[in-house]
Amino acid sequence: MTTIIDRLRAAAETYTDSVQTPPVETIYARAERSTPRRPAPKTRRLRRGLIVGVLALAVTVPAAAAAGLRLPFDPLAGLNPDSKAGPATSPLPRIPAGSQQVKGGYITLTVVPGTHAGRSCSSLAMHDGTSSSVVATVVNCGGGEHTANVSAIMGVSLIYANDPGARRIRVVYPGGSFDASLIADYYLSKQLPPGPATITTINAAGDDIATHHLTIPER
Amino acid sequence: MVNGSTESSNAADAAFEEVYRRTYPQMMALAVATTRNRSLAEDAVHDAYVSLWRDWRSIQNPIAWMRRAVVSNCLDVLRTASRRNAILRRQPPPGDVFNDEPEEYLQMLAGLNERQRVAVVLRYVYDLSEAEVAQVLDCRPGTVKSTLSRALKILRGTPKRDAS
Repeated sequence: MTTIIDRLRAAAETYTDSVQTPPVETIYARAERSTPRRPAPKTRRLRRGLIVGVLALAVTVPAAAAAGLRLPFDPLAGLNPDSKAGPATSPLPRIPAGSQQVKGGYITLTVVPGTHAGRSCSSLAMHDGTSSSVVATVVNCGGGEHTANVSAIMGVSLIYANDPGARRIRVVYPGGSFDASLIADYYLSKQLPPGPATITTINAAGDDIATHHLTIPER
Repeated sequence: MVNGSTESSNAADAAFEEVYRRTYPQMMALAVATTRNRSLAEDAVHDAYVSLWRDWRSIQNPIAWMRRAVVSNCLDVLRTASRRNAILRRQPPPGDVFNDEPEEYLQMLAGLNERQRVAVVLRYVYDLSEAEVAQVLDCRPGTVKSTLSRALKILRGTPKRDAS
């Protein structure tokens, strides 16, 4: 008779056999990008407090706006391309807003081959909260794809794509609408390496709505 | 002198890469069992390897060190997610997100909390002693014993799936 532990061992072995070890360069690239040491406990506590504070603000600001209260500042300054109160100096190219409200479509980001190699993309995507999940697809240089469903949290989702050959990231929204420019701005400001990049917004029918060729400056 | 330093660095890289290749699948199995989410697990495992690589020269037992780092990273990730969800209360916790993870493996561990999952995998899948599991979980061996006992009761209560 097979015991529960034998079954667990067999299942774990099956899983272990199925794991594909990524090239060790993935780790080296990650080490290059990350901070050299784990911060001191006090710093971690402060950072944690800051994150909780920002999240609390993210909840209260829309609630206050919904209740009709006017805030003395624009909470989306720097994210919203329509905002007149944007950052004083923004060296990054901006995607014009307006025609990029998409329903149930997806956005594709193409990076010139090679510039993204060895990077682990960890990114934020935004949507209006009507969709419970988004799907991130990373297309590697060889044409293979790695897809992962990601749970959405308050319209903000973390997407991880540990693919050293990644050259294109496609964020698919099964439902709901989103402003592609917000996503594009985030990628531009946080993720993409310096150099040429193309951002294409595609609707649910697969038609290109807008394509922007940009050069990401050195930061 | 420079050559000696380069050779030593190359040897360290080679040793690290050997450990990486040999242990990655096992570390992923441990991380996936803990987080029940492949993306979170990959992140925790990769971060642990980054730390291992940085501190390679000062680490005596890389595999034991990695186990502890992976479990610690996974528990950190789950704590962060749990705090975030407590504030937002809009989305299911990451534990309920199965994605494309190995169903059979994770279903068998369903019903256990994260510390029970870690203890069960380390003790029964990787044959670590209770003392070694206690080191990873940063608790006393007696606590591991009671954790395992409770976990086994839950596992035995899980309805068996017909293999045929």
